[in-house]
Amino acid sequence: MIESHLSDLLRFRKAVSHCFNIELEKTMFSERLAGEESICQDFEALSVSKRLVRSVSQKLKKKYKGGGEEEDGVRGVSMRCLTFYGRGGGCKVGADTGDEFGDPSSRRRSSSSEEGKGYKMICGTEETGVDCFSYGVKERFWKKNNRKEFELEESVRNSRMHIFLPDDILEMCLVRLPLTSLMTARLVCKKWRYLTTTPRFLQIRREGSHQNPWLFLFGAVKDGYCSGEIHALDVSLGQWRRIDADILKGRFMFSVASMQDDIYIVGGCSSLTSFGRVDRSSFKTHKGVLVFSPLTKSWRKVASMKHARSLPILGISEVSSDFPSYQSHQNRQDRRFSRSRIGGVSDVYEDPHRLSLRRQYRNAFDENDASLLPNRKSYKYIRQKSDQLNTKGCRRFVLIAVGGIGSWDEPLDSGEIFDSVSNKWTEIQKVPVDFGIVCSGVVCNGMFYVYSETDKLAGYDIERGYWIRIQTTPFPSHVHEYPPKLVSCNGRLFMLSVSWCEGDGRIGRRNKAVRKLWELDLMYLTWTEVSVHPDAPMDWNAAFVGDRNLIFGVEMFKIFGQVLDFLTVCDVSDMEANWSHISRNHVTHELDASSCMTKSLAVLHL
Amino acid sequence: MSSSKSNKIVKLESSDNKTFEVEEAVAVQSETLKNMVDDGCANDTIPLPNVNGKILEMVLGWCKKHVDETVTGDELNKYEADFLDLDQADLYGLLMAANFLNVKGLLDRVLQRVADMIKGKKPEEIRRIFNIKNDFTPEEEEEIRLENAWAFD
Repeated sequence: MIESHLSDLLRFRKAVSHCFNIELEKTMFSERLAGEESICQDFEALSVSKRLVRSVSQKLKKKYKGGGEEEDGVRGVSMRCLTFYGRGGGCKVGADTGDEFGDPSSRRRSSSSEEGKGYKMICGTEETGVDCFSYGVKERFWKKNNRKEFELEESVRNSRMHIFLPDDILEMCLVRLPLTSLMTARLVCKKWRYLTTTPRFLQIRREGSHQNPWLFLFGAVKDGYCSGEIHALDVSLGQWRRIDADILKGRFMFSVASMQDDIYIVGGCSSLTSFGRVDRSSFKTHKGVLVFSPLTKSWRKVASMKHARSLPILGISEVSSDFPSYQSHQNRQDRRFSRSRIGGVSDVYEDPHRLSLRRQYRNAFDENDASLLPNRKSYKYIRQKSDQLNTKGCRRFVLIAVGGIGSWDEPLDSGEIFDSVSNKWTEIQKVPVDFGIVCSGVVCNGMFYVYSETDKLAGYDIERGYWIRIQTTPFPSHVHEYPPKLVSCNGRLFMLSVSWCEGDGRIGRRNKAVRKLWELDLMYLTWTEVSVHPDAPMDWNAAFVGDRNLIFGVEMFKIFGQVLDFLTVCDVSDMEANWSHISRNHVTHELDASSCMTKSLAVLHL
Repeated sequence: MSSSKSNKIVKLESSDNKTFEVEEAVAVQSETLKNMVDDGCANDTIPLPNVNGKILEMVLGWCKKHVDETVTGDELNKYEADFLDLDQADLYGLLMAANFLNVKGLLDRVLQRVADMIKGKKPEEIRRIFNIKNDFTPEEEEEIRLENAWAFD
């Protein structure tokens, strides 16, 4: 029996020479080793020192010298085996002083020096032999009650003996991993790293809906400085992570929009006098657009806007690849005076400052955002390639920026549109002249809807390139300080608005403000109340973003001397559309109160 | 006869020469076998040289359960959960068989099961389970860690 085991051992060793040889020896006594693997794992996890392992094993060895006991804890039994087999194959307590537990190379060294000896000794020594074989009985009993641990341990044994998974099947398994596990998988070996980084793999992962939403919170201000930190929340696990983005240091009041795997950071301003501080006494406004790819933790730039804007209202939307190029929209601009259907949009506004030398000078200055970037080496650039779009599946999109605050602190009414294929910004028609200041906007079904502070709704038909004023049923006016926010989910248009809620009629009952979710019927243009947000509206700058069937919201405010954040989510595909809270374990207590004002939110599926 | 199809038996032979007879309705859960049946190649025993008897029995058991109308949703869920309580060798065998035979539901389940074995584990643990040698240098490992440091556990 031992001879057949010996030939087995030699055969396996030849076939699988790079394996941990200790595991090979273990396989020979496979029936007797229940629990050991889980012990190995446990010990590794706890980083128990070798000395401790040895001392415990010595104690247990003494315990078992008197013969097997039915009452052995599993671990006690396993420990004994561990001593005998796990340490270079000798029935020697405290063998292999040089061993680092779990270090394959040293194991190999020690076991090869005792080739053939290890198991022989074990079976040879009567006492240990008896223990080993009688152990099998206990093991079977234990096995029934601890299926899961046993399964893993046995699976490790058996895996030594069989063919490895072919790459295509392995790929199919890896594609199902959530992001954090995928990142870990990339560290396993070169093949796994390769398999999980090909564009095809990422495409399958995207299309197979194996991704989960991640929220990205921007605008963290710490100790008065725009720290350039991005806080990312893995919604499925409720875990926060921090990304340091030096490139964003000092930049605030930018707007963000997400598309495919990237986040677009548009405009914003930086203080000129005290770099990094949220200081608008002397500042410069940016035209630049940065793109962040969390999956590769890389940054790049796309074309800058024509006008520097802070807090522009953004709308982003995929378009078909045969979408008319925006060059042709230039011609439409000229025809705008003759448009009468929009009733008053005839645009006679001309920029009185267009000839201003100062403005021209500032524009030239704005072109070179790059020169203000503190440290080029601290982030990666991917060179803009024309075939980059091909690797992402040719998914063309447009990004619209409307309004915002200009270089002179003036509210802007101009708008521009970015085409991902041509990498150019083109001016679009200005919002209707009496529309008011745009406070929120979102794209829904090919229309960029915007809402003004004076409760007007308008829509920009992206394909046709003009604004339409939209008349809806009356809407309860919002509390003045709380501008409503538009969000879009699965082709539906919603708005979050804070309004006064009547007290329940009783005299002396104070009215309170409540945030409600409304939906606009796009056919009949009627607003319907969908649900009430559970939290009292404390944050006038609460950020909401729609993603597929979910609406995520973040409120941040300082209360009782601390900055707190509250994240909520609502599933609009659900009839009830109730809001639930997600993760409050966040580092906002480290942030300044001004983060409340500078924060912005984007969501990606990763 | 309209019911002739439901009486049709498909004969399968595993790599270790075990034969199995199943109703056509059960067999066509496998897209591969369905194609053969549709093409008229399923009249004789179909040899399956890359699936052994033990695994083939499991696969056919799964297919039978899913065709059986008397099984309730809950029972099916429990069955599926218990079904995958296998050791790694069997799991791999099942995975490859489900892939070859193209039994979509089963394949999806087993793939998810293997993915679950990877989820939440450290690289060293994953290497041990899948018997993989670490071919990164410490510098390379460090570089990869830094690349996506924010997304690691």
